[in-house]
Amino acid sequence: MREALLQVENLSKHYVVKKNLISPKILIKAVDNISFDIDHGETLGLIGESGSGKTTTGELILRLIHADTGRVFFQGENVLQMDEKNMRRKRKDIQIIFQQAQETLDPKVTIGEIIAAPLRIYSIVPATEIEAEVDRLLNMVGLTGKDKNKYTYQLSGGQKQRIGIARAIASRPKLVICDEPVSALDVSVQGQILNLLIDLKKELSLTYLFISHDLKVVQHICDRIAVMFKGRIVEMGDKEQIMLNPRNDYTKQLIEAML
Amino acid sequence: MEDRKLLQIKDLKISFAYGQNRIQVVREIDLDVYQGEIVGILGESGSGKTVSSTAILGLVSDGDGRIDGGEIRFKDQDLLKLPERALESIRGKEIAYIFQDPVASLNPYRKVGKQIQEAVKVHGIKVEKEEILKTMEEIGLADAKLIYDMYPFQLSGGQCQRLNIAMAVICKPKLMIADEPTSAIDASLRRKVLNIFRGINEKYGTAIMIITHDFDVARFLCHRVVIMYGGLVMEEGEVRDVLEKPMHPYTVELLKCVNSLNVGESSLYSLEGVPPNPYELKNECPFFERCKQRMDQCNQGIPPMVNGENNRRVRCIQAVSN
Ligand SMILES: Nc1ncnc2c1ncn2[C@@H]1O[C@H](COP(=O)(O)OP(=O)(O)OP(=O)(O)O)[C@@H](O)[C@H]1O
Ligand SMILES: Nc1ncnc2c1ncn2[C@@H]1O[C@H](COP(=O)(O)OP(=O)(O)OP(=O)(O)O)[C@@H](O)[C@H]1O
Ligand SMILES: [Mg+2]
Ligand SMILES: [Mg+2]
Repeated sequence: MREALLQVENLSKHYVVKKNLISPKILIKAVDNISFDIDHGETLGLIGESGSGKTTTGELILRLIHADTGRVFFQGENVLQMDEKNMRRKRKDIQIIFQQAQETLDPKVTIGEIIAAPLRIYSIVPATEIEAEVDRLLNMVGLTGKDKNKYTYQLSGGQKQRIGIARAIASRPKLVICDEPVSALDVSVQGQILNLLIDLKKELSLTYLFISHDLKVVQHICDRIAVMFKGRIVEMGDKEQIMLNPRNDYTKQLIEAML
Repeated sequence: MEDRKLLQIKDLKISFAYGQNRIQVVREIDLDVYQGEIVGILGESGSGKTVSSTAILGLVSDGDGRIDGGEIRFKDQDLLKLPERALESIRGKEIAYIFQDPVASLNPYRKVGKQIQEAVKVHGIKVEKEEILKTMEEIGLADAKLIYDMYPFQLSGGQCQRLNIAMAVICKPKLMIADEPTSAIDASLRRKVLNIFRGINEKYGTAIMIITHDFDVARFLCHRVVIMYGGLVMEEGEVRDVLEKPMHPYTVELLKCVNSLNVGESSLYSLEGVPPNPYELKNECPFFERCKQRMDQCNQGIPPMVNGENNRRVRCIQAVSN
């Protein structure tokens, strides 16, 4: 039987923007009444136009921003109504790899500290083993223990992205929201990270919401694909159907534009 | 040929301070951009692509970075010897730069339209709001009028990226350096942006140096490509020559990775081992440890560049015997 780990129902987030004090208000429907499920151990790809609401969707699920309406069930519980204490506990299980790695990594803290923080907060390993676990995580993403004392501004774009990945998997979550996790990586590291994400999925029975613009990558890693356009999910289905037999006009346009 | 060179980087060396030590991350880069050409820079993450290209604009020495040697000639001046004032008048106007991190490179406290207008005005270029809006629309920012009055935090990653592109395109520079300009946008916008690059290249003769991980982008857009690894240029040549007949073992491996994803292998091909750590760079080919074709001589000094036909250059001693 299918068992949903995450169920998103009628989720919406609208913004009101005023160009200046006297101009009329303009409504931006960043996320507009979307619903989808992700099963245990499944990878759902979220693709779509730039600005169509993919990042916002991820942030709503994690409650980094407040939803206007809708429900988000994680293991049957509505996280949007959870109190702060329970939510904090849930955050161990739902992690995110941010699209803007740079913006979300504290520039005043060393890389070793960034990765050790979740290990400590959620008591993932005994204090004496934190050091070794940090090394292990760094190795997994193709960096080494020698990089531990560096600060993020000393890293290249792709290296920062990999720190974000190591931090996200450190707390051994159940669901990882991956927002463009490999778009800053060179092809060899990209392959390595995709293999890693797939291995982790098997080993730790992880589930992914995988946001990406790279259709080849999405095709490789995802089971199902949802396509967003102007805040809505315009098409959703098995990856074969979406890639080979798209129905929606925007999806068709995307697939035709592949280089 | 010499006089067609717009940009000429020679023996560029850049290091950073780590505590007491200095570590060389760009070890010796030689790179030319000819007038009106589009060059792609590809290669390993951390190999020095961003650092060496920001050096062109004199932006390395702001922090712990230092240029230890070399020359960067733009037209007939050595940019490394120019005073800040003179550099400022070149930045943006003659050489436009699209940064790898699109959000961080915008001022968070100013509306984006104003930012573009000011940035352009600094360079003494007059531009009407209409033209900015038109350019924004051309690169797929359909709600240009609205976005014009928004702040960066209100915009998505790909929207910010395209604002950077708009800013660069409006200046119609002699040289445009674009660091991963399409990494945050969808396939159909990517095509749009690349077509715009091609358009300004053809219409205004703007030379473009594009740093990308995306081999499809390189194949679609570039005339020539440069492959970097471990702070060195490993191979360069016409795009078709390099992508179809790679000569350096590193390029060969990279293309295997690309192909693996293209054909959809269940476990993706990836290189064994890790790239050299700048802390422990040795006097040998940086790819030595991972190279499948290595020979005894390969760890005796950094291999020299070997010049081939059709402007091909390869930093590998095997290339001589081939
Ligand atoms: N704080 C905000 N105020 C107003 N509008 C916002 C705000 N945050 C996001 N938006 C708008 O919501 C829409 C969706 O943004 P989001 O970042 O979710 O897009 P995305 O699909 O992730 O795009 P990309 O692929 O470019 O990263 C955009 O049009 C954006 O301008
Ligand atoms: N401000 C800095 N301080 C110290 N080291 C730095 C700094 N900026 C970059 N580096 C180091 O210099 C090397 C080259 O970095 P660079 O950003 O040029 O890589 P890149 O080739 O652009 O990689 P990517 O493809 O991941 O963006 C890296 O090892 C990086 O850690
Ligand atoms: Mg986004
Ligand atoms: Mg870079």
